[in-house]
Amino acid sequence: MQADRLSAGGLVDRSAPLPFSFDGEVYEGFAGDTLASALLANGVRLMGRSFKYHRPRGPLSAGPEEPNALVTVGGGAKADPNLRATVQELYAGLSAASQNRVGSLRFDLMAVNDLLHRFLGAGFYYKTFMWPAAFWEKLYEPLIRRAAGLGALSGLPDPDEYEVAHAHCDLLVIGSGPAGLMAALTAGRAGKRVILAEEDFVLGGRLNAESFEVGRKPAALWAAEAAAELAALPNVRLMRRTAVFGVYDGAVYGALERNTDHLGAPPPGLPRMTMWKVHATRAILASGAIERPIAFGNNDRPGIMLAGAVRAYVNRYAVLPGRRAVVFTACDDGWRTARDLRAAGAEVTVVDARPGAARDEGFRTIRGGAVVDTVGRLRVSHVTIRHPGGTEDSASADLVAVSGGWSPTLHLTCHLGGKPIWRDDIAAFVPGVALPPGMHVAGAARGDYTTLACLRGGAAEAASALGVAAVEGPDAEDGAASVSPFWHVKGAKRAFLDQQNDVTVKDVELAHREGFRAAEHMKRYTTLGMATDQGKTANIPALGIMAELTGRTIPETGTTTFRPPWTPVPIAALAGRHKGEHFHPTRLTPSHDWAKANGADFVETGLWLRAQWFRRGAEKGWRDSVDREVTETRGGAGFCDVTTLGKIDVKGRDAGAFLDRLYRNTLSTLPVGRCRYGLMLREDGIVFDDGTAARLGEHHFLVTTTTAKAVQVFRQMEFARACLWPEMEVSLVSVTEQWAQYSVAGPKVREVLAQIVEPGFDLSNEGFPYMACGAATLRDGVPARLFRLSFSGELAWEIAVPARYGHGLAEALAGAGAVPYGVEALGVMRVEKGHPAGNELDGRTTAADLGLAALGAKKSTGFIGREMERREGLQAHDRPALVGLRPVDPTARLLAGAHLLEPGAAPKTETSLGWVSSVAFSPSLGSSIGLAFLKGGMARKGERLRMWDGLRGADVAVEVVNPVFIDPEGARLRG
Amino acid sequence: MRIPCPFCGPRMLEEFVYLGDAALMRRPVEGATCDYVFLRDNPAGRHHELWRHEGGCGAWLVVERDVTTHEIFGAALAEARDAG
Amino acid sequence: MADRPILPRPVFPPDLYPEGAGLTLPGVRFAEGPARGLVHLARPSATGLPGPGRWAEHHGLILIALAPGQWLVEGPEAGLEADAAAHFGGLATEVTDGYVPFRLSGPLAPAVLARLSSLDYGDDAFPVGAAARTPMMQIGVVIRRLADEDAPAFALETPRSTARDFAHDMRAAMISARSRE
Repeated sequence: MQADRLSAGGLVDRSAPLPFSFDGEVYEGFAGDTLASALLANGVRLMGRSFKYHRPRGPLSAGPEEPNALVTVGGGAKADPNLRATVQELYAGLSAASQNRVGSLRFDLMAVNDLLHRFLGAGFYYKTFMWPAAFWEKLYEPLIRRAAGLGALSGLPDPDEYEVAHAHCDLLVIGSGPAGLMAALTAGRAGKRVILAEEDFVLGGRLNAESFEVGRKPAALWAAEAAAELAALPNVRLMRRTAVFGVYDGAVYGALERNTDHLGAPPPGLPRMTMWKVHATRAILASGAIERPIAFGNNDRPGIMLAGAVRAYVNRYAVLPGRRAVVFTACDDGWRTARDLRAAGAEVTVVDARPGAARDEGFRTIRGGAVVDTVGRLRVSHVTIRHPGGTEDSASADLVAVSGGWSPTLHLTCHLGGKPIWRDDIAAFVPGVALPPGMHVAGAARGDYTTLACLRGGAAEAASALGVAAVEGPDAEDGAASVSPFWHVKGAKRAFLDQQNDVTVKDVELAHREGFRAAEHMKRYTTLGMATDQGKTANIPALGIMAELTGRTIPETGTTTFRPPWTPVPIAALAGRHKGEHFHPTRLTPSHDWAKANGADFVETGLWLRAQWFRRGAEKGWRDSVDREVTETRGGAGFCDVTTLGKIDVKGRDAGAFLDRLYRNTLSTLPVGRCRYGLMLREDGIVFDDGTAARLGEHHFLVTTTTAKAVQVFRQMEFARACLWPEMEVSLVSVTEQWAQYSVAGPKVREVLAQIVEPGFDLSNEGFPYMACGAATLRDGVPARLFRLSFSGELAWEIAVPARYGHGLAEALAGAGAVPYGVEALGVMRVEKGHPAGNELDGRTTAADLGLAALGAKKSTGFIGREMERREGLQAHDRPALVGLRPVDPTARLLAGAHLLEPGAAPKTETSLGWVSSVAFSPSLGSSIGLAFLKGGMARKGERLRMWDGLRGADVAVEVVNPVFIDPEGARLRG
Repeated sequence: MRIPCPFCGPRMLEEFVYLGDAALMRRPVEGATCDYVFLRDNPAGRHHELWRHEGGCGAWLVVERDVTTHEIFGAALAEARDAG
Repeated sequence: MADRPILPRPVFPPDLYPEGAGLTLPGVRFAEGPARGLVHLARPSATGLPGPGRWAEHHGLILIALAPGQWLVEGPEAGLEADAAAHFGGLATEVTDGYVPFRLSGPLAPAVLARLSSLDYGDDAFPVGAAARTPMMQIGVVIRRLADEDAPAFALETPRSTARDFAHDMRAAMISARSRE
């Protein structure tokens, strides 16, 4: 049934057959297969259609460098596009589909693009589809976008879980081929903490793909034994299916572990992927090398593969990809493929591009020849071979194995800015001198191309990195390999370099003709190397060709930079658990549960959830609730959770003097048991934040901040303490979380509080005057602090209790007749009282702008912001200053953000007199009211102006009024 | 990037908050000047800067870093340094 | 009217958390508590207090090094602020309600912590007696290693307002670590 499966050999488990489907057809493979190897075993060669020309394609490779065999696995919300069939592990029930075709894979209607290839070369969209201009956006671009492309997203939310985790080790070994295994053994046997990361699902790297021996046993067996020893060492962690995709500053490596993509039914609770941040002061990059093809005519047909990949299919997967094979090689390595194919029963012809190659191994051999063209629509059937004399003939071939040499996989060495070095002897780039700190490179990744050199190099580098003894390694082949750089067959048509982006040699020649000759320009003009495979099989040949065209060497032509990730990483894996509700932590106030149970709707204020309003009974809209809360508070009593405002406990002998340096006004003169408003400036003289200061003892203050600025104010105060004035004896502790705090306000507040505080507590105006504060005990002995402060303008106290009592206190306040109000009503009432808040403290306004010039005006000692506040520009008399606004028509709505204009003026930047900063509907006044910054400020009281908002289409006549709309004398506060 | 907090040990960048050039520590005794508030040198190389270890001990640190390579040469507690 | 006493309410009340905040799985256990008082102590005059990255017991109280010149003092709640100042001198501020205590223990505990924190919790890097403050899922946590039969064992303190999210994150990390066993 698996027509191209060899009856013996390979690392697949023939006792574990796995059914799977591709494009609706059901097949069988074995455990140990990839999707590509299983399809090849079943005789399937066609696995995709190319990006631009929709040419039929099959796998070029057997690994992560695959440009062609991109499939979508799974369906519905789990559909995962652009997965490489050559690395997708097979599991029972895997369902995959090909991509980028209209109609079927065999009869893709978009293949008409290939007939138009002369018009669709590199950068065609810069030169064609120009006329008429209007058609570009509406017709041409959508058509081009629809015609080209790879897989499609499902558009549904991702149902899988992902996580981010950290790992620590003495040595991170990247890659488990011969060099990596020896490095891990060296470090592991020496007792070091080792992590061995391998992208594949088995350890061994190339050893699993070769037929030679290591330590006098089959290479794959030696690798399995080494892996078993490592698995048994408690200090070694083997991470399979884990691709190290990037190196970052601070010796951190990013690695993506795929936990469930190979499992039909994953265990519950296991995230689909884990993104590891590996902290490794030392690392061995043993990532091997990638083979490069040769560009010749129609070199992209299904059945044309890299020679090393053919060996992997034959030796590791026991698949025979063809029976009449042509090996086209420019290096000794291609001959290994010829031998392995013959041993598997194929007929082999070797075309060696090097004239001098002297070998007679019994194959039909053409030395100094080239494959120049191929035939076969859905699978290669014939090749055209050119002989050294120039004659050409055709040969039947169902498999072409191509080897242009190998390129070290050195991408990670460049992630921190290092540049590779060209070596002529192997015609390849090797890692440069400036490696990421702590990184060593071993094996083929540094240009060691014999197995023995890889084994020894891995051990030696680990030994050197850790200062331990190198492990004595097994015997292995050590044949010097010769390679001649042979990038392309000259004059060939449709010779592909980057198969994923459909970039040909002709496109590179076009780039050269048009002046895009630097590597970075060639890349972007032709898009070579810009697909999901990042040009792993295309970059070097393209550089070689550009070098030939410009008459320079490859190092002179340069390379493009390598940046993370080495392999595609889903954004969900980078996000881990930070998504949806858990995008960031949520801070809950002590009254949260009570508020929720009592009809609150919540609003996000930074990380906090605060009750915005409380729905009552049949209230339909939020205005119903908010208007009621304001009315009931100003008519009776209300309470609001103000726990979120920053609370900073300040202690120490120099506490008062320290605060004097932070605030514009003087706090050191505050008597014990009193509170004061505090205004804090930035060093440039602009207002930073405001709050209150309460003096609880001679060397003990409690200052508050706005909710929004709590973190920044604490940071600023700590900066002043530690960096500016470390000689002062002062300590700062954030106690925002320690205390639940409520504002309780309204004419009936004393009746409410009498039921809360211990009997006999003096709340009278004489016993507890306005702006007094102190410790208190509530009924049942609950410890508390009371502050007679008002933000609403009503008679009010703030009560603080240890957070555990916050819920109980909210219940008690409601039970005592206070109405709960949320931040909306809080906002309405402070606007009614003309209190500046965040909208007024917007980073542009000064104390004078806010009408607070007198606050601390007589202060003689220095404070942050004092000098810069005196700059002319900040003292100018025509700066917009705080005023109140009422609409002339009481039914009109004011809008925050609107401009203020003279009634006749045309709306222009030059004529704007200022802006409206805060707006609210005042139930107390029955109209919309606002606070605004107006040139001329309160000197314009009584004037009629125009409130203009071009964005929202508003033009309202307003009157300039006292910003204190309610009780301007403050009688309610002091009663 | 990792910063070697003298109190907590080397920690990842996410634990820190950046303020600016360490010259900010040298606030003139007579009060802030325009130069102090607004002017900075901006060398393409090693310089001293202020970071706060907000996710850890909360200490302010003076860190010497090469801004072109991110290499960090040391970190000291600001509190312990001479502002001089 | 005002008959009901004002009672304390736990961060994980039984009506919302019938099984509590914690979770027990084979190999790892996580639970809230035990209840304790907590005080921030700055500029103590006493010497011999635990240095950076360490905690220790003095006078029957636990001292955790928090920052240069700053410690957390853990002990019986009643009068702890006064006791701390009396034993060690300096400026004491109660923060008992500002943090929530947790315990995490068992052989899988380091694998769980790996999913929350970038610190190395291995036996060499974080032995018994070690302490640190570090973010876990953007929440600042004070963590220290205790001696315990169910080793390794850790005590954690996290801010009250995000304690529910913290416990959720911890449980998810435990389930993930356990699912690989």
